[in-house]
Amino acid sequence: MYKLSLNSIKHVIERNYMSFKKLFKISVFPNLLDPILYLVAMGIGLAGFVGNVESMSYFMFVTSGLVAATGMNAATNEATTNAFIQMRVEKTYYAISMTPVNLQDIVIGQAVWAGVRSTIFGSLFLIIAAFLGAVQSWLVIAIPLVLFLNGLLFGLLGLIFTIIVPNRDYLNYYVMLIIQPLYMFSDTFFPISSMPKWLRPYSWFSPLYHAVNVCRSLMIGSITNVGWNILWMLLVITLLGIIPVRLVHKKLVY
Amino acid sequence: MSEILNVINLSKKYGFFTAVKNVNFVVSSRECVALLGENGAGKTTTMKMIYSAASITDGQIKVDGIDVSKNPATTKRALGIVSQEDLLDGSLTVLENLIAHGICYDIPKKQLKEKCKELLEFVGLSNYANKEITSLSGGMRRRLVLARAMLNDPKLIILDEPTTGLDVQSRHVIWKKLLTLKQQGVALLLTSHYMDEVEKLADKVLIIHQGVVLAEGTPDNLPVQNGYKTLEDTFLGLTGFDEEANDIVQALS
Repeated sequence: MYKLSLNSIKHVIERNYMSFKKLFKISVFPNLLDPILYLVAMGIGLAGFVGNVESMSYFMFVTSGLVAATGMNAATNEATTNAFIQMRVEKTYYAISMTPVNLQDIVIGQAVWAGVRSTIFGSLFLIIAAFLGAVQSWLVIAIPLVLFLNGLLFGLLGLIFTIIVPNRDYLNYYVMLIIQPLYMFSDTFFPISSMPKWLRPYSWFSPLYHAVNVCRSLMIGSITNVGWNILWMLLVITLLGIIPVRLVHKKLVY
Repeated sequence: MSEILNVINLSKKYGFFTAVKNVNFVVSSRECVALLGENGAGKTTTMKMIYSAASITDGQIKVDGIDVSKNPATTKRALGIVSQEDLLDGSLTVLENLIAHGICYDIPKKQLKEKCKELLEFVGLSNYANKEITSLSGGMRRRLVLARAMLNDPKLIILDEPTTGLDVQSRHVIWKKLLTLKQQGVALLLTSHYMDEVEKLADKVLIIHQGVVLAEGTPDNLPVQNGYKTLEDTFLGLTGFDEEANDIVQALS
């Protein structure tokens, strides 16, 4: 029952793209406004009081953190609100599963699509930041790939919650209790080294922390941190991937 | 007539509750079989097991000779489904809804567009191709769902209350389309609460009560076999809603 079909997953992505194309103009604004506000408030406003952080300007520090965080938020929107509508409100999951595409293919297709969304919105934000002088190295061309992995990971994580929750209000808990703290405490706005000593090791568990590290390295033109962090992300993606595939059959087939 | 659907000793349990018990029937091409039963009798559950939206507890379902639980992706290729809920994508237009569904059957793009236009013509929605789903009436939505169920040229169309809530005109339009499909060789499996619909469309009727098939026959023969005048009387009588119960209901109201 758990056999995935690459062809079916491709169809799910095509289908999601059809909706996305129509709603892009509406969704681009809220997805980019949030990081732009933070960029202006912190990267420009607060930067004057901070000086350098980890041997780079605070503007550079915040911008690199926000690129990864933008990807995370775009993927999370797809895997929570959008997925919930498709699973429980309009129930398009059931319409698609009437075709040769099975529920398992749909859920993995949606996780991959969350990765694509993360890539699109994270890269758009990166382009805006580039105009403000945040790009110092050609290595940034690898960032869309990192954004994709980051989005795939948060897509899977979000989908696990969306499949489990009994109603829509619980999705707020996921965003408030998991996504929001990760947003704040993953080396995004201030370095982990300034946190209490006992708290620091926990950052290692934050997927965003690893994505931020890679994006930051690539933006300043270094690859020292990249390998291990990417490996960590790939490993977690593999482990997480199995869960929604099993859950979706359990929770949506009666 | 070749057998398209074989339901063999089918059962479905939810914990201790048995929703479907030992059901057997066959649907062949050019044939319409109707499942008649009150709400909760197990009709929709039976249908969902056929298109793999519900798991099978016991027994076997074969679509075109292939076991449904072994290879759902293959058996679903032969099926078209008009589910009780419309399950349309509100972010897409009428035409886009069909295209998004057709993609999943590996139909090449160009061919798919032609097919969608053809089907919209068939169900009388050509003028609504680029309209939003929200602008459709209930009857139009049902016709669109019927068109969606025909995209893959199915051998069997499953119709779960296809005309519930529709006006008389819309029901007649849908009936006409279904009879045309039957003539073309498609097998139909129908559930309905309308006796006239069943009499008009079905070649064979199964009366289901609490998950069990109580009687089986043609719409004309069933009343004769069981000593009733009409199909409705037969249905009410066999499912325990007899005169005595009727009297109690009337006394209470």
